[in-house]
Amino acid sequence: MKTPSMEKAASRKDIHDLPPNTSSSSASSSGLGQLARNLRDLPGNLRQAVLRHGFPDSPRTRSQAVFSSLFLHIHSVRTHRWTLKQTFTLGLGVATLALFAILIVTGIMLMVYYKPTEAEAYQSIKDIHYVVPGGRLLRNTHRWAANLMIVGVLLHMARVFFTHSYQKPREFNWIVGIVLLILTFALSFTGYCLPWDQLAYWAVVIGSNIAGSPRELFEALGWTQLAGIGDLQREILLGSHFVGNEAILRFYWLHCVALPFLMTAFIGVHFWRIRKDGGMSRPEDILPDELDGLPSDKVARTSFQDPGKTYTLVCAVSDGSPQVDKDEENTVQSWPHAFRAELSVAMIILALVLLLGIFLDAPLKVPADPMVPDNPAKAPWYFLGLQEVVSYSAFAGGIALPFFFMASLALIPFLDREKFPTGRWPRQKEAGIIGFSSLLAFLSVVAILAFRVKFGWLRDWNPGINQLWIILVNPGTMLVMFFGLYTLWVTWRTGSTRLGTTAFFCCFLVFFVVMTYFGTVHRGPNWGFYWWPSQWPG
Amino acid sequence: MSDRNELNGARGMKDKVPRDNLSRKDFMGTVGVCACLGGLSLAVTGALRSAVPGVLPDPSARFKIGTAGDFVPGQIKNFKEENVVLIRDDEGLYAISTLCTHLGCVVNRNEDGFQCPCHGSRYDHDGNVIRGPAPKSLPWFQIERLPGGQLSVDRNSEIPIGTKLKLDTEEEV
Ligand code: HEM
Ligand code: FES
Repeated sequence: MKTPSMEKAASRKDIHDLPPNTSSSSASSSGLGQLARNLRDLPGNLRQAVLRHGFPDSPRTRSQAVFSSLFLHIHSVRTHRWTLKQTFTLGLGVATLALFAILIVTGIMLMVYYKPTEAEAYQSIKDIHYVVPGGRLLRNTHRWAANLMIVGVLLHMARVFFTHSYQKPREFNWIVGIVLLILTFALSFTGYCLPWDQLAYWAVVIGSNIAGSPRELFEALGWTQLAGIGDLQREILLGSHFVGNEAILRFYWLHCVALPFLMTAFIGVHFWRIRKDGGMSRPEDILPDELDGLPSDKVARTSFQDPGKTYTLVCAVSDGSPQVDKDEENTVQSWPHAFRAELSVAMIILALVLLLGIFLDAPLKVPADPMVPDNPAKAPWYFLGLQEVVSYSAFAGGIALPFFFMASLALIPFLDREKFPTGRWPRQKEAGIIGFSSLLAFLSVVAILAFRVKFGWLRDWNPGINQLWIILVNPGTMLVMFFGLYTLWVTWRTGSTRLGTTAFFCCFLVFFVVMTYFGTVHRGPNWGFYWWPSQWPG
Repeated sequence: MSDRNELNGARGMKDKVPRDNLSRKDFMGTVGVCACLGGLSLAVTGALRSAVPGVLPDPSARFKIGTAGDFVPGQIKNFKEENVVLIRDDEGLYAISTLCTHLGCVVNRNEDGFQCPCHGSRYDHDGNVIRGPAPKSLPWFQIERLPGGQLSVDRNSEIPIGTKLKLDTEEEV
């Protein structure tokens, strides 16, 4: 048994131990002996030089392991037991991070073979898939990790929302999260454009024309002098008036340089803020049995309860971090408990992505044909909800609606400032609101979709109608209006902004899911309605 | 509260600096910050300008379609690369764009007119929108006569729907 005092003595020796015999002028043989001893000690000394602490098996070395490592010190030395509850975070944030890490590694490796030109892009992807050793797995892994990251980031957002974790002081981190959500979508979009197959080419055409769609609004309003704004946006995105080499290069630059850089920076801020906001959210009234089964630290329980001791590392943190310094006796050392949990999530994700990559090939359509789009020309599944609303109006569906949703999501922490039990999943009344809102949103989305399929919309009834009417009144804007009114009604009826925002958030999620499902399954050639893809003509 | 301010010491750390006793040092500081911001924003604007392409090597908007003799009434010729379809009927020859006015997919011609595969816009035989999200009708382009009997289409000049180029029989020979 090493006692703390022995350890202390040992470490003092580490520091003060001068190399022996430096000053003595003994025989040359002892110089060689010295060399031999140094060689023998090399592994230990090297380890000491890099890590500066012993094996993390005591409270002190375990703390050192955290704060003396650039990569680990984003963690605090101790982690609250609530944070380790699997049913609280569900590991979704860490899973998303692991996916991002996989994407960076596989992406950097794909860059070696990918050639961002109109003539070579498609062939280089084919080469990666069929010729480069291990290239197929690399490409598949990259693709499936990207798909899963979309799912991960959405679920993580839902987790944060439903556990009330966006509330003060975490408002800003919620906004950072929304930026990360948008960046995730932007990375996916620019990424699937790179293979330059039919999907890619027509996605760039459609995406860049959405950027140009303010023209639709301004022309409908008769403000033609402003219509050029859309064209300018489009020109900046494409580097040209046409989709070609310049466009590939710009998408490549966005996908491989600009967006990953921004993503990394914002993830950095995201994690930094988790620390500065006092660690992860948790309720103030945790009952002992709620922490049953989690790792615990008996020493901490006694020593932190001893009023003689203070945990002074945090005294420099002033207001805005209410959770620092509270409930210390319920913390455990981050090494190994938090790291073990994180590593497990990351390994599960890696295994999942590898399995998908081995058994499922990432799609690659026929090479881009600027003369004939596929019919139907469908985006990847996560954009099919967007494609559905874009099929009402380019500007309303492609710009106005996404902007409205992102802006209102970002504002949630400022519209609702109620004190709800943070860090807990909804109970009773709130769960009721969630169920009711989701059902209502589901029925309203389905109803309006069915109506449009059956009866058409304004243009079908009156082909000469001014486009402004269609921009303002279409299934997408009507639903948004309905969601808005419903949210206000819930807020008024319950007298609670939290319940109001909950209603809105459920509407958003259901809208996204149903639209995505509808675009994926029920839209066929010419964007017509079909019950199943098997019924598509020819 | 008060001792925290003391702790923070420097004036700048206080929540508010009263406006009326701006010292010379504060004033110079403000000027400095403004100068930095101004300089930086100029630099950033300058750098961002490079995102807007200066010279656009666009392919020519005009393309040749042959001579009047190449088109007999009832004939439809699709110029796929140029995204224009040329139609000759008893009244004359006309050129309709095949790029959907919604988001630029290439429309297909069928017995009812034109149909877009991307988001379901539909147009009649003359290119008028009848369904879907397209905000405008398919444009008609000017057809010009070149010396030597050649005809060319100018995709930069739109003409009203229904303006057809009369081709007399003499020319056809
Ligand atoms: C690239 C995307 C993202 C990554 C890699 C990421 C990563 C993480 C991680 C690792 C955590 C720790 C807790 C956990 O595992 O759940 C976390 C917490 C948090 N995230 Fe994210 N996140 C992302 C996107 C988002 C989004 C879209 C939102 C919401 C709009 C968001 C808001 C938050 C907030 C408010 C917290 C603190 C939660 C708490 O204290 O309980 N994040 N994030
Ligand atoms: S591009 Fe033709 S309907 Fe959208």
